[in-house]
Amino acid sequence: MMKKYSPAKWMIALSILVVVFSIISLSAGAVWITPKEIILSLLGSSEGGNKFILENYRIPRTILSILIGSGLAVSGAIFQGVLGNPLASPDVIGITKGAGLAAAIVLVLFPKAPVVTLPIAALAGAAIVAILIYLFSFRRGARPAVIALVGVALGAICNAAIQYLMVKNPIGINVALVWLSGSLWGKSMVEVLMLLPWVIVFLPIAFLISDKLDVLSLGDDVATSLGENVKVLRILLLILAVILTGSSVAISGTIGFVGLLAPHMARRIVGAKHKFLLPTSAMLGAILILVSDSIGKGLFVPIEIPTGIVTSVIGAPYFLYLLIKK
Amino acid sequence: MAILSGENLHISYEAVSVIEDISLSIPEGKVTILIGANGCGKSTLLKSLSRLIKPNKGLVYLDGKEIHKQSSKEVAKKLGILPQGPQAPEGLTVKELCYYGRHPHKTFLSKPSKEDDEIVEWSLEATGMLDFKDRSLEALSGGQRQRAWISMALAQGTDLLLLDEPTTYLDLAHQIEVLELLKELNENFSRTIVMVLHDLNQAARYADHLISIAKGKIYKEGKAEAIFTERMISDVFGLECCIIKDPVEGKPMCVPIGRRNSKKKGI
Amino acid sequence: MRFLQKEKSKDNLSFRLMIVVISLVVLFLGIAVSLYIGSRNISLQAVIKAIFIEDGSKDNLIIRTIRLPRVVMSICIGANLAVAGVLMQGITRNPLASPQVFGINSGASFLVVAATVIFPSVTNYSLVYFAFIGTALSGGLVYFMGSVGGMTPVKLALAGMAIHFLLSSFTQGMILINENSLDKIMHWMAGSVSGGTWDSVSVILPWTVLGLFIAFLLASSMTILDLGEEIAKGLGQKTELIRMIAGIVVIMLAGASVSVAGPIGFIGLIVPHIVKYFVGTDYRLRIPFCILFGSILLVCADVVSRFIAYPFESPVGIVTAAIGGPFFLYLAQRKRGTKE
Repeated sequence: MMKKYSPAKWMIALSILVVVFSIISLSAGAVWITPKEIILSLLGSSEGGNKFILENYRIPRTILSILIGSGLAVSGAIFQGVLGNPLASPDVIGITKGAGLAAAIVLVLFPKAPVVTLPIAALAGAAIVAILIYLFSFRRGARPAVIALVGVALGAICNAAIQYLMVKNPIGINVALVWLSGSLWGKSMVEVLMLLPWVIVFLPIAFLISDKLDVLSLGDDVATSLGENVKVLRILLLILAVILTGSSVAISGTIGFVGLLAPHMARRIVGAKHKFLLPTSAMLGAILILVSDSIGKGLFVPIEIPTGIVTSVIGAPYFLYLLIKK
Repeated sequence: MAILSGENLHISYEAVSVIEDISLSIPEGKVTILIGANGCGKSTLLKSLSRLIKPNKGLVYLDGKEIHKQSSKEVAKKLGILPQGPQAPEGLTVKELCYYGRHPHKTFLSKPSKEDDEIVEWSLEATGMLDFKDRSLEALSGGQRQRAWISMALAQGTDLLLLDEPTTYLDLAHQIEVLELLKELNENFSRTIVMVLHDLNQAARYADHLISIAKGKIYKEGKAEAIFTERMISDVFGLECCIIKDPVEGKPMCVPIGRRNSKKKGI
Repeated sequence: MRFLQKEKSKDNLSFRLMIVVISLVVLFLGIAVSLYIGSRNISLQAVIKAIFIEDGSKDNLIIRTIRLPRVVMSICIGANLAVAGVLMQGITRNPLASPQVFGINSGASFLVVAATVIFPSVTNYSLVYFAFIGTALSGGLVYFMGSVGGMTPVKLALAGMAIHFLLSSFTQGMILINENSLDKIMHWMAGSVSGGTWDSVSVILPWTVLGLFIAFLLASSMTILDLGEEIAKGLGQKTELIRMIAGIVVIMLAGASVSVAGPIGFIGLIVPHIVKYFVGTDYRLRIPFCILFGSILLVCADVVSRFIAYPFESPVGIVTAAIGGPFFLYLAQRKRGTKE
């Protein structure tokens, strides 16, 4: 374990990195805006014609990257803690597939619907899958193994349904595919303001209950002995995680791997205590999306690679490397 | 006076009845040990007493009130249970584990208070783990690890301590280490101890109150000298034996006879 | 213990014979319907004639060049996937193991799509080899990921899902870049036998025959393997070798199937369980019955897939998902068997 430096030092280092990558994210894109110009612009001086791009496209997009990255990462950390399995994440447990299915339904079957229907549908889709998981696993005492398996089964079903929709409706496929790959293209302050309240409210709640997640890791019996109502706690935590995932997915589509990867990386550097793990995951998640988004929009100008694809391309080999190193 | 008791408990697992109509009270300030053959329900009984399992029928009372009507946190301040084979996340140190014992006493703010620090320090000392406080659990021997878990349960500050087979999987020396510690905790710090033990002779030696369980019911309970008889061992465990007095504490001890020797004895 | 039990009706020979007969009848019916029904109704007489004689008429042509190969392909693939599933469940001693859960489908798809994109002129014959590589890679990866710290069904399912997610986003990425063949690929990705020609049959047939043959040979070893690693070794079995050979067969069967028909899910998962219910745990019975039941399932699913959105075709993978999905859910929440 890489615990040579204290968690606090790591967290400070990471927050600096977040700032650095934010600036890079603001610079990258079809037009490269120098960091100097960015800083000047942020400080108020209104030189240069890039200010328009900055304010209307770059800044919202960068903020979104941070919000989404932290939301997905913390959600993934909670899933892993609640289900006791390092491979658990909202993507794998079918929550994001549920959101994806709902979004696909809207995009393919109701293309004329107002823009705002999409995030609502995605959130609803995530919630419905979560409720189904709960219903199916409740009988078995909400045991982690059952939750995980039911989630995988539901995910597989949603996947098939998505494929069916896309096959039956070739016209909407492109848009649907882009959304399913997860992208921050064309997002503005509107989306930021939609997501902000969710993150601002629920992320701190997650941080506050770090202790309970720690206690859960000692096993159900010990956790009960220490005064926790394990069944209720698990459900509440899952609700929290679903809200964090659902709200992010609602805005950006299904960006995969962050919920799986960020907590893993965080665990390696600050250990398993959720007091440190959650904020560290959040920052790593933010960095991950900032980097992916920067690459996505800046690498093959003017083609934009959807962020979700970049996260998969970066995330997967690194994940394998982590696994092999174990 | 009993602060923990069960009345007319019936417990089943998936339509198979495990405990049938058991009523018992745990004597305060004593070491109570549950013995019985495999699958007789002793662990199940212990778990239901500690509210980990809800009985199908019957009630468990803690401090005069029904245990399932009290919040888990309330119960956690009066009763601590150590399940069989507890698992801890990698890299957890003894001291960190002990601090978990203070969890039921914590509010939302996570900083441990001075009182918490003192109690943890005391727990570690009482269990002889003070020198190991910064070691991670994986690096310890079986006996030390079990003592670390006991320090956590001790730090919980409860009068009642329930343990499910705390000595299984340990070597003999470590088993004795753990049992002696529990006896000390009972004698020096007046903890009421209830445990399930596998080893009959250890149970007879360390128990103030012995409860034998057979076929989902209590067979006999009482002091070891009174109930630890050849008849009981034969009925409950299906084992022919001779009962002698152990040379160290004078408690009853069972020496199995076995098929070869029963022929010689003409049994 | 089995020997001490009284003979249950399931061990009864006549019961099994009855199942075989009923299944064959169902299969026959399925084939008949599959040949008979389509976007163009052809008389039963003409169908029967077409199977044996070529007479140059249009109906005859349709039967011989479109429907017949399609049926043959369904039979092969259904059998392949079911046997691949039962072998995987044996190798990993895991009731959830199947080409799809193991991410094998995603791996094969990924490489096949990649090959088609990178080498547009690749032949169907060569695509099979890409599928094999994809199958081996993803299957091995999931096996490895899922067995870190002791394999459990949960770890396996999660690992498979993780790999699936990973590979499908890569595949999606490639599809996005390569927009011209978008809907054709999407159709294929959902699993479909509708494009089946004699060409594809000739691709898959040799691997089917070879794979199933080796599976037969392995049958009694697989039964012993089921008893547990230590017991099997104690009985003198070379467990590693058996596993490896079985693994190669899985790659052959699943890989070939995916390369011609795309990733059809759920068959490898549910057929072994249904077979086990009827026939018990002996692989010498399970494998043949998997061949039978697997073929039936896919032939029937194919028929159904032609009716969902009549007169348009739907990918058969969706029908298998509709049946298999709920079954998977049921498996997921079933109480743990004592064999774990």
